[in-house]
Amino acid sequence: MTDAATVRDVAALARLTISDQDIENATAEFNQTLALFDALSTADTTDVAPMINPLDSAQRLRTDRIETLVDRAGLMQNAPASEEDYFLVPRVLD
Amino acid sequence: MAVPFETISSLAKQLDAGYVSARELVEDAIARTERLNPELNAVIALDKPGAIAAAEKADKARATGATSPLLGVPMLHKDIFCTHGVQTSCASRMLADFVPPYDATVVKKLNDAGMVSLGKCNMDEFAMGSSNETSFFGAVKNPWDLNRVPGGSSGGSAAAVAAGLTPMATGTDTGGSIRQPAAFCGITGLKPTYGRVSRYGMIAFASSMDQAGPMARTAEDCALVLNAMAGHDPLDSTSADMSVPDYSAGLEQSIEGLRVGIPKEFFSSHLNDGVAATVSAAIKELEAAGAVIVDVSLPSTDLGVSTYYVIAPAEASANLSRYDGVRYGYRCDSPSDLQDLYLRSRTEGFGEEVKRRILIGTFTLSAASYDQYFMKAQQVRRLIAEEYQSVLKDVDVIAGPSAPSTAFVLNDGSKSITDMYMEDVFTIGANLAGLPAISVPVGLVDGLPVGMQLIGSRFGEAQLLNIAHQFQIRTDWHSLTPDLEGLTG
Amino acid sequence: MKWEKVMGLEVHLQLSTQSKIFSSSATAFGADANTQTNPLDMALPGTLPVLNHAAVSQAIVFGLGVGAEIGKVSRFDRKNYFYPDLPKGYQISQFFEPIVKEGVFDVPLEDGSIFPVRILRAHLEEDAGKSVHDAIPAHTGIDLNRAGTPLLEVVTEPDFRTAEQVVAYLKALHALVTYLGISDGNMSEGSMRCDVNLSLRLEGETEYGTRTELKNINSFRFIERAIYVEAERQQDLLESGQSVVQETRLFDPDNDETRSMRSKEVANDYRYFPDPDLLPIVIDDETIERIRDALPELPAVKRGRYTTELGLSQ
Repeated sequence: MTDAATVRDVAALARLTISDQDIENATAEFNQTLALFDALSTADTTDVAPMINPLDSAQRLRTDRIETLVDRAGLMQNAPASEEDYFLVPRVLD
Repeated sequence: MAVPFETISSLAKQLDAGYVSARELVEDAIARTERLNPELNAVIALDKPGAIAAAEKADKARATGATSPLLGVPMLHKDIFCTHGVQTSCASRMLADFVPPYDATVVKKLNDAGMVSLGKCNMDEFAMGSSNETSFFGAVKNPWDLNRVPGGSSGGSAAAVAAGLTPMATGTDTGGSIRQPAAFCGITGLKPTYGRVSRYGMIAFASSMDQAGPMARTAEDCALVLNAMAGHDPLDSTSADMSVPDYSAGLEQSIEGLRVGIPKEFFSSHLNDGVAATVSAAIKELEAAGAVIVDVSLPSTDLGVSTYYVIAPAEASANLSRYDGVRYGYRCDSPSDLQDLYLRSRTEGFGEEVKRRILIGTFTLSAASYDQYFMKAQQVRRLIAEEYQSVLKDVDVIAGPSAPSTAFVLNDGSKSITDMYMEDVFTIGANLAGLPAISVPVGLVDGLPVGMQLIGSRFGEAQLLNIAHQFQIRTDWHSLTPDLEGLTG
Repeated sequence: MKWEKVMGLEVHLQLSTQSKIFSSSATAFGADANTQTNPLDMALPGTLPVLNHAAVSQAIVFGLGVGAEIGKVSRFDRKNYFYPDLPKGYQISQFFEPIVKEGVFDVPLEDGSIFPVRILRAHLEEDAGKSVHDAIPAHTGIDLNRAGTPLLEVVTEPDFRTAEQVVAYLKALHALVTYLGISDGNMSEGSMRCDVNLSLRLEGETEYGTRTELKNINSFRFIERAIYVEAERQQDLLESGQSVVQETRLFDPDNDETRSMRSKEVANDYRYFPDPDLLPIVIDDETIERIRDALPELPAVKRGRYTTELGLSQ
């Protein structure tokens, strides 16, 4: 089981905020779901390879060729903030 | 004027014979949607000009001799498929104003086949849910009982077909999201084998399990649509490079001698008695058609829910990191700095269930938890897949209920989050193993539809459709329609 | 007290492919902002990666060039973090199973001797976009032209002891990759980026000290200076009884010092996991041999031939 501090840390990693009013409830729900996972420890997985994808084929390689599927205007039309063809975010100090 | 609740198959004949035009069909569909949708909330975007243009194009094509079973037939897309120039919101505030500059491959293929899309269907937000109650655009009502859920996440698609708005709607299935709403709404829904249908342009939830499929009135219709939807896509690395058989060709085959496995775990304590009895009767029907019923066991059935709820949210937590208010989607007002931009855009843009899953997914991937939860779940996933494979060596298909109950009441406060997750107990295995599965309507319990699920071997869609069709020519559960009189006006 | 510098290098090479590693956008340098992008580079919803054949071939060419074992089966993993030049919120990289495994790269030093550098691994990954901080007031502009360009990250063991060795390695690496035609290897243009992991220990000790990572230094001269300045800083700390904090630092040539990088490193759990959108890269022996046969004569082989056949001294 986890505590509120851990849940807050996880939220920060995911760039989500949990308010002070909600943190207790969020932690309780989090732990409820974690409890569901306890059953996994009952399975014997010795020497079992993890399954990442159900397909057992190899990655297809595509030809190294330039192709533009959508032009810049189309790609940037949904931008919440853009100028001079850049996407804008508040100034970042490196 | 066309009668609602017609199948694609029947409409295609009428279109070919010239009894009706695609233009007339789409106008009827639009009128019916405008009349019924305010109550149902199944459709969240109606593209009238686009639909009429597509219908006219289909009529012109037919006039010059083109013919195909889907040409001019109206349909709807779950709002998870990118449609060029048309809202694609994934039922989220995060994408409420998003208009894609390109079509998903599935959309392109169905357009090329001449289908006429009316617009987009409501769904659970980012496909996370089993009741269509998590949508930013409000819940969807089950046409069979307006106080009940249609199921989810493809609830809008299921309700639209059940209410006769269009004969078909596309859905997606990651943990049961085509099959469970198909069962709750009394229609037929198919989740193809993972890799059968392209995922390009389909907004990702859990990349290793998501799969698009048809939701329609009959298996015969699903076969027609799958013919057009399926196939290798060079834009999707997980798209299987396999030829597409004619799924309509094998429907009439006899199922004499076919071995149907019934897992004892599917008839356990989770299952509502009425559903159990109805599905058992349906299985008897298969037996009467010549199938051999075999008792089998899938001991890891319950483990499937834990496995799925580790893996799916983990993959989703990464898939949803792109929603950051920078290049598209919801951006908070006047962000003070970059972190504020991220935190507020994401916290305000996502609904509660989505945030819950991102949190749990982020946690299970974190360094301290990875081995114990994520890696472990992936190992159990392989065990479950092997279990299914082993059973499917002994039997041709596995049969059982699609959902543990019939449609439950809307806003059921008594259902906890994990109660809701257990709704997927019968459907999840097919997603974990990447197998094809179909839900067909098999009866009513207290006036509410019940679905039977058939699970097949990899790329065994033809056999599933064959069995489902043989069931549907002997029964008429799929022809039942809800009484929507109360909604007119 | 006699201190020894212990250094390992991580060099990112931009590969010379026509199109990007996972999308078919162009990779050429210098285009107008956001014109060399496709829906995938923008991380539009529903987009998916498909691996470029040439990126794999060029990685194999490099591996053969340093006599490394080629990973017959390698996978891609997601490295998760938030930054505006990283559109998906994760970078597709290879963490668990790289395409190139251990090798040895013989570096000729100025005095004529050969300094063998152990290559730990080299892996494929995608580049991030560019942040432009001074174009628009109070904002940072994001240009995604570079996002998705194929990179080969070459990681060495901590075999370096002097700045001269480091510079010799970088020069030899530049010569190798340009000779093989897989990268421009140009530090000032950013097609070769070097990070130095540096720690100190007393001479004779076998345990490693705490290291810092010096990032993105873009000339040989700055590399030498940065190493000198950082080693001095660490020595001062250790000799006064303090400890070195493991962190990432930038070299500031104007002030001739290294500075700790800001909050990009906060909450540094990358949550690596295998990317389910991509399948394993499987390379068979025929492919490796075919690429090996097509290679030009490798510098090490050439040196060997010059000395033995032609009787020239090393």
